[in-house]
Amino acid sequence: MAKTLAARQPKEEPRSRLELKELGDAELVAEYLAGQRFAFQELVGRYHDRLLNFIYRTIGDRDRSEDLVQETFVRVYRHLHRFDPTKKFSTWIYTIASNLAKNELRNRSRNPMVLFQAIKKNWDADHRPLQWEDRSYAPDDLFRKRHLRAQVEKAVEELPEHHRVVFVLREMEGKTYEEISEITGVTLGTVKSRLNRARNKFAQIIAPMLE
Amino acid sequence: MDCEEFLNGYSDYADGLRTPEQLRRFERHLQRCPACARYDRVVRQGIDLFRNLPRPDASPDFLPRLRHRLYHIDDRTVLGSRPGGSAALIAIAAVGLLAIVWLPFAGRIPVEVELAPVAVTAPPPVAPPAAEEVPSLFSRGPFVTPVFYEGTTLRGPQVTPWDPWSRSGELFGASVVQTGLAVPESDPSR
Repeated sequence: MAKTLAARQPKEEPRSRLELKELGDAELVAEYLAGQRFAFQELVGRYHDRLLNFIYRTIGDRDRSEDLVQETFVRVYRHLHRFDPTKKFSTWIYTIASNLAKNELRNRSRNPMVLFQAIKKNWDADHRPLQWEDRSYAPDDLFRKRHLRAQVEKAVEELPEHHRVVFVLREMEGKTYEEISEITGVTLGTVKSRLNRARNKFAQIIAPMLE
Repeated sequence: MDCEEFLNGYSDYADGLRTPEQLRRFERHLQRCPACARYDRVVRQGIDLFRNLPRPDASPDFLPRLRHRLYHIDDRTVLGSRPGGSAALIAIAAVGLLAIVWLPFAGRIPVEVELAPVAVTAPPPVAPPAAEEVPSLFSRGPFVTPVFYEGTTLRGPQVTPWDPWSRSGELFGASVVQTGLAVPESDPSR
């Protein structure tokens, strides 16, 4: 730990934030370890929204997702000196986030409870305050779109956990099969098989709403 | 290509991971099979909807909270790396180690403690308490058991008729003194 701290002491002239924005992830890590304290903030800025979306789509609880994103950054911060610069930083940070999300789902299955988030989601839709009528849009269309979105979210939530992680990483985060394999720690064949099954199951759930 | 083959290899086809020849076979099957064409359409539309779901925004206090947590990690790191801190840790570990080594022998060593002699003075002899049962004046029981202490004389109860004209007297053995009672000295009746 002392070694990490020594590495974080500034040795060079501080770089401007604009300069840091130009750098790649691995370079930012190197800059941070060389003492550029804003380099870590830049990494947080690049990843916090993406990680929040990924974890939220995996576990379905917004507040808890935010806690887990925080925990991800704390772990990255603690172990940044262990990061292998030959690997992709995004794969590393997604691996940490994915493990935290999996642990959360595992703990939740051991201690099942009704999620307030699930109730609140419906509450928001049904109890929004009355607004003046706007004739520029068709309410039927809006209702249909909102309903469809809710059904799509529900369909993803219904996927088994290990299928859902692969599905979200591929479809929402645009990860390659190789990256998904590294993040989830399963073979490439297993990734393909899980993704195929996830798409199949997703299509089965969503089909009646789209036809 | 049949439907089973199409569905088993669908992910590779959708992600363009097959050879051009294999991709053409998938396309040909799609043109011939309405069920697989419908499946392909549903998956693409559903995924399109999924990708366009609104993304959750981080709450306004997300970054301040994170900065606070990271600050405390640095803080602990600084405290933990002080030379004094390390020395204290080593000392605590050494004491703990000694305690662990010594504990198994702790029960076997006999402990002898020499105490100073204690001088005690015997109290003067006290007459044994005496008890006497005295019948009540009003009924057969209960009995009154007077308790006498050292220096008192043992006396039986004396019953003297009450003389209201006397300024002092005894009522059932207890001394009674009259006060403020004006009694004429030359009462002809006495």
